[in-house]
Amino acid sequence: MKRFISVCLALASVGLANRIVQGARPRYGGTLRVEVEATIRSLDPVAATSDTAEAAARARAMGLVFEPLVTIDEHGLQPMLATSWESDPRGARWQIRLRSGVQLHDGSTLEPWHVASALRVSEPAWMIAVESGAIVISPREPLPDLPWLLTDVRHAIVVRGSGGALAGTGPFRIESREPGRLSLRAHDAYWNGRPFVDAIRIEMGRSAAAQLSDLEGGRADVVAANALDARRITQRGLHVAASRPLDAIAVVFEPHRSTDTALAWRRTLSATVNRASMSTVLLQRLAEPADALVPQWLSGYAPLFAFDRGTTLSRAAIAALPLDQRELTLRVDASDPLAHAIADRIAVDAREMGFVLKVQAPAGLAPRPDARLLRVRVPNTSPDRALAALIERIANRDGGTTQAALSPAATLDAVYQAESQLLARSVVVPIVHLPEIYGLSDRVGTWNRPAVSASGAWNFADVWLRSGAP
Amino acid sequence: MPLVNHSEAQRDGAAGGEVLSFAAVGCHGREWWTPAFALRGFGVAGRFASSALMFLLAAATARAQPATQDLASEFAGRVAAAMAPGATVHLVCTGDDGRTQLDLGRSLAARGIRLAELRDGATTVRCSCLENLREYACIADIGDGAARRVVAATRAKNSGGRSLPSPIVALQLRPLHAQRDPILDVTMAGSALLVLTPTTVTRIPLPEQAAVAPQSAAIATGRVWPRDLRGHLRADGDAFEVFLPGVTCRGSSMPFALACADEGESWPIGIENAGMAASRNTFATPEGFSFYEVAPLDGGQWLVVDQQGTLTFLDAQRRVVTRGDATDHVAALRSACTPGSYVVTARRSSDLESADVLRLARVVGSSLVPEASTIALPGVLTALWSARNPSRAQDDREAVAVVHDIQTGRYEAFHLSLSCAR
Repeated sequence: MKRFISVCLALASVGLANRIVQGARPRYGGTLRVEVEATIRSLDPVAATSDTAEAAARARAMGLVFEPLVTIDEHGLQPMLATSWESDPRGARWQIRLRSGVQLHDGSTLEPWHVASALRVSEPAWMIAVESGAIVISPREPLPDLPWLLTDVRHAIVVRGSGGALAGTGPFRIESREPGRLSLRAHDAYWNGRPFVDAIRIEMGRSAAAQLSDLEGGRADVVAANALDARRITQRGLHVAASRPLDAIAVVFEPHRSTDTALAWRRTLSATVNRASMSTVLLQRLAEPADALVPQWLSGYAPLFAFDRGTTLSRAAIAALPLDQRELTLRVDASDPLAHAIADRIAVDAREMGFVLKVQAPAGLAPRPDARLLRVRVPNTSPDRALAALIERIANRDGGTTQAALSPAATLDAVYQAESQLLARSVVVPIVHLPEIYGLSDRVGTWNRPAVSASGAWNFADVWLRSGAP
Repeated sequence: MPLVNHSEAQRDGAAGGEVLSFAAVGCHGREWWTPAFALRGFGVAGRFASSALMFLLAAATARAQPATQDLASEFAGRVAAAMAPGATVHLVCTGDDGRTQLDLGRSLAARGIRLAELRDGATTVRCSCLENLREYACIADIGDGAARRVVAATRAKNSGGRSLPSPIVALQLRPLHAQRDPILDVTMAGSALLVLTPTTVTRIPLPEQAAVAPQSAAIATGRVWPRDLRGHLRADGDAFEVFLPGVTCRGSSMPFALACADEGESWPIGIENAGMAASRNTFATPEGFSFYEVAPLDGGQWLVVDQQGTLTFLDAQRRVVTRGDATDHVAALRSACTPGSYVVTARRSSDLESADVLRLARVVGSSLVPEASTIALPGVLTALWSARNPSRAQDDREAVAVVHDIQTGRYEAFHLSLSCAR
């Protein structure tokens, strides 16, 4: 009997063990191994970047080293190096108070004059002074939403030392730069608490396939991924981290297909796209169907665009169209496999309605397309700034067919009307919104906040490593 | 400069010397505490019942009202003003669970606007009440074509950016205190509850002394706290001590005073230790064995959570006897109403990724036998401290649990004890 009881106790204990997941109390130490495709040539926010990929990767890495005065999280504006800010009613003169006792990577204390000097580099047109320990900014034109502007990475506070050394206040300092590798070291005196990991090693210039392979082979802890890879990553027992939707995927018709007489034709094509299916099946629920350009979490009004507004053509009417109106070519970026997959799905949907849509991914010269599939980054900021940036970026890439007026710090109804105006002609057709996605190794743990924030920022100060350091 | 957009105190209370406010504002306030918490004596059954009932009632009635609902009246007024008197509208709202449609419909009807089920002959009003990073926003797109109008009602977010309180889930724990700022530990000192945060110790008088305002004292130190900051309170009558990594404070509850020094000391956690390293989150025994938490057991043994997050039995010489389950937290519980040693451990809920579950187990030799039901917490357990109850039998052991509800950003402190009344 005693033996039976002992066995029962042992089994019960094992049962308890099985039900208890691995501990989540963070451990200090180790090196976090990160891989990116781009090559970051400089972490200085005012240095030019070669392309958008480098700019995006630099913005993420910079956030570990340099901090802005004000930042944005999913709840809105938050103080970072600033503790308070105030302005006159027009926003012509701003006074910003700094957090005290913040230590720079070189061991000195952050002073208001450091901040003033850094901002003078990033915004030479602003009048910046230090008065009574506060930073006073007088922009060239009144800026009623200046704190939103200060969240931009180019306004991160960088203290430039002699010899080109850059010092910041972030949770990590620059340890070394070698070809293809950036090494960061934990800032022990970080004002918001020392990071858990001792170091971060960022391997640059790694192809997407190599990153995925390294993650699966246990040679990397954090790699960039896309929605098509998500299932593969999770099936291997690894993890996926994603931001809120940050990229807008949209079809933009070329000028010869943008006439008012073709409005019903464009609306019909737009209506053929099964966005919900694309998001859930093709993109593994990591994308949101888009009826608006600005994602819902940034606009606050996106569902209003889901209402059916205009007339579309019937299948019979499409069949009766001349051949040149039933056939069209959609151009995608040849280097973007995800965009190609989305374009293929659009083609399938369009064919079902009687259109013949060819996907064109040219490596060089190619015949003029009828439309382009654009992938545009939406800045995580106020709705007016987000839409203004989108309009600018689409206009730059569609040859200027996109026009919508938006004044600075516009009210929400004005922003909504501007986006309505932009989308009314169906020249720009939103398809889906995509997050920034990362694959994480199984030794990555996080403390209080996810490794990738809503805005896509790397929150690696809160990352800890489950097993021993490599 | 009349516009103050933001103050640090709204965010995280990290500024030294900041005074926290703890008003007993009940279930509609951002901070709450149980009026009948009556920690004196750590709980009489009647008071416990009263406290639990209040907690349940609060949970039932304190459903968080989305901030967009605050805009409903203003929004309805604007939509009505954009319509002709007595107009008929076909209302189509989206983006939520139908609440906006219902609220706006009622408000418009009260303003003399007729609602039509069908579109025919009616003006279509499309609307949504949602939020973006800048504001809470209700927006209506009225009519079509040339007569189309857009009206909006918005309310700027507090730039401190805190999420709204969400419903509090009633548990079979005794709630002691909740607040937005991180709680490291709570304890009774004399006739007041002491709350330890990374920057302050706050003295909150018992409800019967409600006329006495809470008092806060800053923890004066030049140290940069570790990211996973842990802190512990120990009280003896009105006197109390605060233990933080590399910092020790001593004070009194009445009169309220606090003095801190940058010095590490052994922490009163029931096992010999050298205190917590200044920039770490672990303890170490004199033999150098590192651990996170400890539950003192009968016979001079201990159950600790080691640095790998594994429950480990130590014998009287602090040698490892056996290793077992994975967990982050352990505390010892004992009551005169039942023999034997018990420990409570925590694990992450499989249903709720951002919540922990407490599990009670009886200590049998060097094994744990699961006991009773689990208790779901409203968030992630961030601290679990064993504590002796001075008003009970000398052998009684209870615990304080601090939970971080990630969804609401709220920290809640609970009193944990063994109950034989179930």
